[in-house]
Amino acid sequence: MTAIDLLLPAEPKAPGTSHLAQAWRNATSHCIKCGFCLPVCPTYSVLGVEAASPRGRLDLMDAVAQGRLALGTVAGRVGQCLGCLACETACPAGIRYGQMFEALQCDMGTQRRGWRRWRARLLLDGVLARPRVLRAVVLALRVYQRSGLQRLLRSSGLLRLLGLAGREGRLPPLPRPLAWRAEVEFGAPPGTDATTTGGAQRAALFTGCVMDAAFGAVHAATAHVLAANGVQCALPAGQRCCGALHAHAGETASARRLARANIAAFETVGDAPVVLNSAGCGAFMKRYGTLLADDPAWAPRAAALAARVRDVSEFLAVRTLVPPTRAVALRVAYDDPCHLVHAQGISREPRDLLRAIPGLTLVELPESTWCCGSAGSYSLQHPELAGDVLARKMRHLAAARVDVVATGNPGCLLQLALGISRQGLDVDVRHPIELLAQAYP
Amino acid sequence: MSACEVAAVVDAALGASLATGDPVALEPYRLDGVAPRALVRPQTPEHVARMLALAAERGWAVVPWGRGHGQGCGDVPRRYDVALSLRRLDAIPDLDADNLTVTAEAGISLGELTQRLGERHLVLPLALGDGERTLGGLIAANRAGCKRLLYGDPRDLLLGLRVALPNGALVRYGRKVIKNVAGYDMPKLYLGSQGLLGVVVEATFKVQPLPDREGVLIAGFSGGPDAARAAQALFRSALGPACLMLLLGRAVQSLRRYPGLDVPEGRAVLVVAFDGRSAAVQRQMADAGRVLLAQSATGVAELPALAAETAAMLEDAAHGLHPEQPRVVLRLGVLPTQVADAMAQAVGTMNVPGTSFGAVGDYSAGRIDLLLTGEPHIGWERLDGRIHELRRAMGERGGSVVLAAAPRSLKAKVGVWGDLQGAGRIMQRIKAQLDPRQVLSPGRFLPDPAEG
Amino acid sequence: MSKRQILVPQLQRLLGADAVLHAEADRFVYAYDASVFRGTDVLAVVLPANTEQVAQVVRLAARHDVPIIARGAGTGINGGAVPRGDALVIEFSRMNRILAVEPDNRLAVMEPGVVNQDLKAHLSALGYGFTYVPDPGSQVVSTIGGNVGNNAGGMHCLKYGVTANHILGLQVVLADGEVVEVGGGSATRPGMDLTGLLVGSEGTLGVVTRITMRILPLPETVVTQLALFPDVSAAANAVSGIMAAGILPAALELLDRRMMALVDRFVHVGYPEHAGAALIIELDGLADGMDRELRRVAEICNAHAALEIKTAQSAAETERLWLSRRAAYGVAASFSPTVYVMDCTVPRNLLAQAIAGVIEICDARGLEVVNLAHAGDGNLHPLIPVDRANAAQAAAATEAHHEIMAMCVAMGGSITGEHGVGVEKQQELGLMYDADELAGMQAVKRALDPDGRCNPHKIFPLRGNVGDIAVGAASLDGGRLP
Ligand code: SF4
Ligand code: SF4
Repeated sequence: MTAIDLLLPAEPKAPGTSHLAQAWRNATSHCIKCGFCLPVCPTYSVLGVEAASPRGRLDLMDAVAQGRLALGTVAGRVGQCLGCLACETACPAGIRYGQMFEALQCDMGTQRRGWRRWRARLLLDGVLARPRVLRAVVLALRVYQRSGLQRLLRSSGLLRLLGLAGREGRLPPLPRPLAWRAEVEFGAPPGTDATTTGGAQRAALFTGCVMDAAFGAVHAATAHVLAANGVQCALPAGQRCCGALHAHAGETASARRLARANIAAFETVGDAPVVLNSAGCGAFMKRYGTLLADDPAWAPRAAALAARVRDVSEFLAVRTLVPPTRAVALRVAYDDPCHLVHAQGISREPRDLLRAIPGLTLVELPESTWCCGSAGSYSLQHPELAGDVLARKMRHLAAARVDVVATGNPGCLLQLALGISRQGLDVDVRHPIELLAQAYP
Repeated sequence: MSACEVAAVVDAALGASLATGDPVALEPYRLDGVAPRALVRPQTPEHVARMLALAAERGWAVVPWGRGHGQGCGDVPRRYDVALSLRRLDAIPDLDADNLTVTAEAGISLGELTQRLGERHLVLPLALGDGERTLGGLIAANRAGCKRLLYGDPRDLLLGLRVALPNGALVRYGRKVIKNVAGYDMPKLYLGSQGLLGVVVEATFKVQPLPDREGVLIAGFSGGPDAARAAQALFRSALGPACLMLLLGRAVQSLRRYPGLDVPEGRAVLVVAFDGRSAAVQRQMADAGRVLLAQSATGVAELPALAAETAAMLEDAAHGLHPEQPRVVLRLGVLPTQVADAMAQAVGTMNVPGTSFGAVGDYSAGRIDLLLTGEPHIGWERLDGRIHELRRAMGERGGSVVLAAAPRSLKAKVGVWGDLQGAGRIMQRIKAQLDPRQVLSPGRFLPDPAEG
Repeated sequence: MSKRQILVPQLQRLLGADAVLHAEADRFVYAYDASVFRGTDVLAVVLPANTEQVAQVVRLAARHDVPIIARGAGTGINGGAVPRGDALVIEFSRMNRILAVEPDNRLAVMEPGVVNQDLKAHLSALGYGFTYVPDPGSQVVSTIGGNVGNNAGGMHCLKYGVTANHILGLQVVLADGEVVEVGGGSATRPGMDLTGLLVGSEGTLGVVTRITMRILPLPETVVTQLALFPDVSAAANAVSGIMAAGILPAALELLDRRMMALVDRFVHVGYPEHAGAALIIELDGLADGMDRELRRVAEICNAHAALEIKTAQSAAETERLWLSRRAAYGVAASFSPTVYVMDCTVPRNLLAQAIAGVIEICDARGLEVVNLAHAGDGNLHPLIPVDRANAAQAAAATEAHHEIMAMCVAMGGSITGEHGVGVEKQQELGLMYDADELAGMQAVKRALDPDGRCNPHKIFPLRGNVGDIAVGAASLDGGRLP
């Protein structure tokens, strides 16, 4: 029998200064390989391959952290990860998959060179981080989709040049931007003595980038619901994109810059809760403390802001809702955004809001906690895999026979809309807060 | 070497007077007319092991014996030197009532074991009828009890074995624990092995406390299909019957003959039994009674318990018949849903002038015992064609037909076991590894690759 | 050319390129399972779609004398799926079809890649009122094929038996590529119980490609109770008392004081601090007479100094109780870098003594230990938190493991109740079985796999030096295996 190098070297150390090595060292516990995360992982379900499972990816990332494998070796499989964090929810050992995953992406970001990096930065810094530019782009895309321009460009080869060939067809139909600010009245900015108990309640609305540009109606609805519940809503100036996409793409410096801007903006309204209606932004902003932990000047401020962040459903859940009166007679399925259910542990609250609406029938969607495949820019990078994951979601949605599917994250709203248009389903996609707003006359 | 010389060699090797070559003593140990050269009656497991080592050395063929009840089920022996009787190995080394296990030697009769367990309010719910059978025989034949639906088969209750291997080693597999996955589950291999892979000298079984209450329903039906439909309804329900037995032909008549049994009208009978908590049994009896009547039973009789006599017949249609009495017993294995059809087909195919049939079917086990008695006008050996036909028909639906008892002439023509296909080849390979010198029962079960 | 370079193109021709994994990252993650062991690099991983493809792969492997490892979800904790030397891994994620469900015959037929829980969900969705009973702790992820390979146990073995008791027949690809059917839907079949032999053989006798299993009607009522006791021995004695009274609960699970404390932090059951042991008792069956039986159980528990007996009043309460039991392993894992999960059985009535022995053995080495047990089965699961970076502690845990196994064997028990031998307990198997006994098992192995190609170097003590634990013992502290 051959001597084989088996059985458990005492746990190796991860030296080195990469983000991954640091994350490995910071982790309080390491994967015990129990496999409980396998059945919830969408990419594992589709591919049936260990390396495309959370357990496999963690093993690969551990190996990179410890210098046993090269980053390039694992990039493909780890890159297929949706970042949905369903694995974290399932893990009995409390493994923070997301932290390793993000660290790896940072390392990959720093490794990205030249043209590809430039393109990524163009999108992230040039567009997402600039509200006006983003609004213009959304508008342009809509025009592009509606006019014959789409066909024209497809044949022109210009798309290939921009790295968008085969991808732009996957862009979902975009909703009409709304000059929502014009439609909503905001109360005066709450003073520094603001409290949430007694008297008028106060909150500050985070507007975000994509939400602000493409889903103004959701902001309007949020403000409406808050007002109906006696909450004064401020809209601090100077807020920016939350920075999540930058961080996921490894552009940490940009993410930190945006975070500082947001912290400063929301400090202007005292300690009022920061209410969001975008699960992705909420998940990320709740972690500002970690993001800026090594910046002595900002760390405490970041932690303080993070502690104020509330998803709108979470914010409303701790209050007694003013009973909505107008019936909304719809069959509605709720689909959990990964960044709400897995990253923030919020799943009951949005359902409770929907249940509070008179006339509305809430239908449980099988695998509602499964990722829809949007995952930020994921569907652009892995169209086939994202398509399979989305198709699975659509099968459940078709079987549920509902009028509306509700979900609380811009990426998911777009992705579900795309799936529905692909399958030709007759289902509307709405943010839960929009439905609730409808119920308050 | 003469019979007496064989006996002398054995006694010398075992260091005790355990063997005999007396023709009178050998007579009951004939198999298909072949008498052994010696009868050996070991007193200890070690004797058994040494006997096998000796046989391996001498090239003798050994056939282990209990009380001979299942011995008819086997092909004509190719070689037969020693009849190894285990009847003196009848101790109960360990009866652990707290742990609900019993360890008994292979030669103990089930009647004796049942009685000893009963004194402690325990029961081994296998072979509830015929107390004459031995524990070793039960393992070799892998016999299911008539209450298998509730208590399981031998594979569900057997925890450990002590076996004398054909090379003379005395080994122990399994322990008196109900969960054990250390290495291969060797005890399972010995279930149904027909004594081919070693001589089981001792076995450990899970036992059960005696139930609070029993209850039996005997329902009459106009024919087999009706009875089978009723059995199916109960089998599918969550009512939890312990026993679902179908009887046809002479089996029904035998049942009618048992004293105190008020068997309802009809050509087919379904026996349903329940064991358990009093209140539950009461409810089961009531519900099952309704199901039976709804399934067109002609009548349903209630009994407080299954008499040993009845159980014995349910477990073996041939029970009570002398080995000398001319008969053929066919054992069919099919799926539960195929029981009714298979029974009808078997009865139809084997309907030979001069014989009468009785059939007992264990619905859940998919087991049908078809018993033919009498003297067919054409002679037993001429039934070969019909048996082939039945085997073909059952084979097509994945079933099996074993000639559990038959005159030598018929066995020689059609073989006892039928085609065991791939599984048979695996068994043969295991036999070749564990008993390379073909010491144990050569030719009786699997074709012997070396000699065949 | 390396073996990989030779084999991969041929495998790709047989199965299609997408069904053969050979890239470094893809192979890398097949070196582990849920055990603490890590094996060697594999030649390649194949994802066959049907029996014929499995047979083709096995024949190809035979031609090139390459070992094969059939793998389910990799949740075994004995290292049974960990490769030792060049091997082809057969991954069953594409063979996960349920082929038939026949309530009238109380059976179902399926491919090995079906996940245990998915099968249950499927059966439940069919609405026949039938289920498949075995419920290993890994049921949400482990496959039926893996359950069969390891003869998986679970919480409900006491009344319903382990996996082997529910498997009626198997289709197997033997080491030479021959496809064979053993057993089947009918319980009546001539010859040896080969199905029973193959279940639990850890993939060392062939590759199972189809499984016929028993399904059972769901019980009419299920009642789940929690009984708290001052100490483990009172709880264990109550278990014996319940069984002796002729009551056969569906489950009898025991948690010791330390386990309760850990679990309660995550799943709030309200285990009080003064309780030394908890029993989760589940009774099922017909509703009639259930009350009386529950009273009887309560009487017996009280006679053994029970502090409190609670009956779950709602499905949610029942679920919380079971969650507290099922979460135990993960919860323990989250408290230390590694948890060494042990598995052994003793005669049921010796359970308290065995747990006391476990604690003594661990205390003597300065090791923490928490105890879980399938009490009705006499099946112990001591969990020892270990920091593998601490070599002395890892060595102590390895020693403690060996000593605990020896203790159980001496008590008439087994070195493994439901996890199997794998690579973890190869030497310990020698504690239970002597050279003759092992030779008998090895004869069976030779009969089915004469060239030793199915999951090689597993189960049997290495080097044949039985009982000599110093040789080739799998250890937690980085020992190399021969
Ligand atoms: S984050 Fe989602 S896709 Fe990625 S490994 Fe976890 S469960 Fe799978
Ligand atoms: S559930 Fe957690 S510990 Fe288990 S394999 Fe997945 S990440 Fe690892």
